[in-house]
Amino acid sequence: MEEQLKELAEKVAALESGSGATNTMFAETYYYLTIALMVVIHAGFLAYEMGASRHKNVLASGIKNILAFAFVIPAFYFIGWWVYWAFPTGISLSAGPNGISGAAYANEIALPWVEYMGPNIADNASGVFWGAFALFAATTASIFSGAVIERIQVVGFLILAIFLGAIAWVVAAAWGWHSDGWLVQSWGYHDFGAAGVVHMVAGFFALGVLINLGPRIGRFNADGTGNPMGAHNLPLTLVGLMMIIVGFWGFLMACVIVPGEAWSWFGDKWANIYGTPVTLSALAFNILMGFAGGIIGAWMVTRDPFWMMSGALAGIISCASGLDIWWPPLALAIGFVGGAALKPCADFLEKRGIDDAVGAVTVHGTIGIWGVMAVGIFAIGYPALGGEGAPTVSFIGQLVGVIVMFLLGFVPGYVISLLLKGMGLLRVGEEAELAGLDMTKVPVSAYPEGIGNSPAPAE
Amino acid sequence: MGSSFDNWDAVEGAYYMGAGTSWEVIWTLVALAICIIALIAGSRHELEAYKKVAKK
Repeated sequence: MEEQLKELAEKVAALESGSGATNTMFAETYYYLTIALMVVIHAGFLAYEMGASRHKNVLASGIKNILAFAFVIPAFYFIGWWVYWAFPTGISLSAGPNGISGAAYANEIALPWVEYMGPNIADNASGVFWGAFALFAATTASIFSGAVIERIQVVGFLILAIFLGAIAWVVAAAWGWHSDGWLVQSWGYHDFGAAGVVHMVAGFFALGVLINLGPRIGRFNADGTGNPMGAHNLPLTLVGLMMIIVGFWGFLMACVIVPGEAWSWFGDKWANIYGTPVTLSALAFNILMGFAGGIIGAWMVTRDPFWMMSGALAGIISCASGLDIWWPPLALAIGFVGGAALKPCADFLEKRGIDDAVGAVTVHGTIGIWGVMAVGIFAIGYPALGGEGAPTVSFIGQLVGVIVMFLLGFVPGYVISLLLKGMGLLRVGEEAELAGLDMTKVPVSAYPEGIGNSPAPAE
Repeated sequence: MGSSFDNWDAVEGAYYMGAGTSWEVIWTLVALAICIIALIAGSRHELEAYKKVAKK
């Protein structure tokens, strides 16, 4: 009998160990796959921006996009990850109530020379978490990238992208996308899918830069009226937009915390980044309904496929902050408003002489405001954190978040681009802009045989 | 609208905004209306476009 009990206990222990290992491997694989999916966002941005460029600037736009990815990733390794863990309580860098923030904690887990920041047989989490956040960072840089195509210097652009990707949005995430973040703890700020901390910050960073960068030559007439500068390959742009949306499934999937690990919020259910329950089913319902609503809204207002696909993105961004809590038909309605608002908001900027080549300020900045405020309108009273006495979602709390996100994006974008302008590192020369950036500095041609009619099919 | 609970520990089952209230029906009707109105407006736009071409 004793031997049988001993054998049974050994079997149970082996099963527990196997189950734990399976959960750990699942968690690691889950985040690993979100990274791959988020790389699709960047494939999408590459296609989107090259398609949106004129014939003479196609490859220069692509180079800018590729390099943004290349430089933001190491910058996030060197400093961004540390900033995320150090800054939640504000500039004091003190530890927050959950004990997973502050300078001391960040020094322990996120400095580039600590054991967690490299291959480690005892740590299946740090690399994939860092990777997912690095892709969030690269996404912010790519959002900003599209607005400034066809006239910005590459190195000036990269300096801006590095600051946005490794500092500006990361501070926003620490404050509003971390359970110790002061916006969450003090104001009940809720931004599940990062409409504020990613989209607003990147969109308004772009606005700050655009003010100093100025419009493309010929974009506006002397009387202030605009001249369209159409995409040289709209189908490529549309496919790029759809790829961005595919990638957003990975982005939003990475906003969920897997259960059952030492670092998990729960042993038996998914949680959001704030530690309150969520399901992947909630995301499936609301991403799809918001996506559909955004397209319908933009279709009704514009009938233009560029704005319809931008509307799809706007629909998801409109729902992003509350993707975990929306009733799906409401998500469709919120997405519809975002999609319908796009073109009028873009026209508003254009009338003020802002040349946003792809509508990034509108799609991400303006619609990001709607996404954050929708939670402050429709989800008042939701506990923003787990446990007794948690702060609750409020209109004022979300409004404070909007103001903070706007400032964290706009101010550094404006100030750094102003400094770069003073140093002669912001805008390309007039002759180069007129001749085209591909011919000026790219050693290969996008279309060496031109783009003519297709040859007749074989008989 | 808003939350029907003040502590996530008490939540079992549906937790979305407006769960178990008439807002479920209201927002479903609103979403349905958006789709139908969009189709009607889209059809008008399309038929007008065909008429314009036919007149040329």
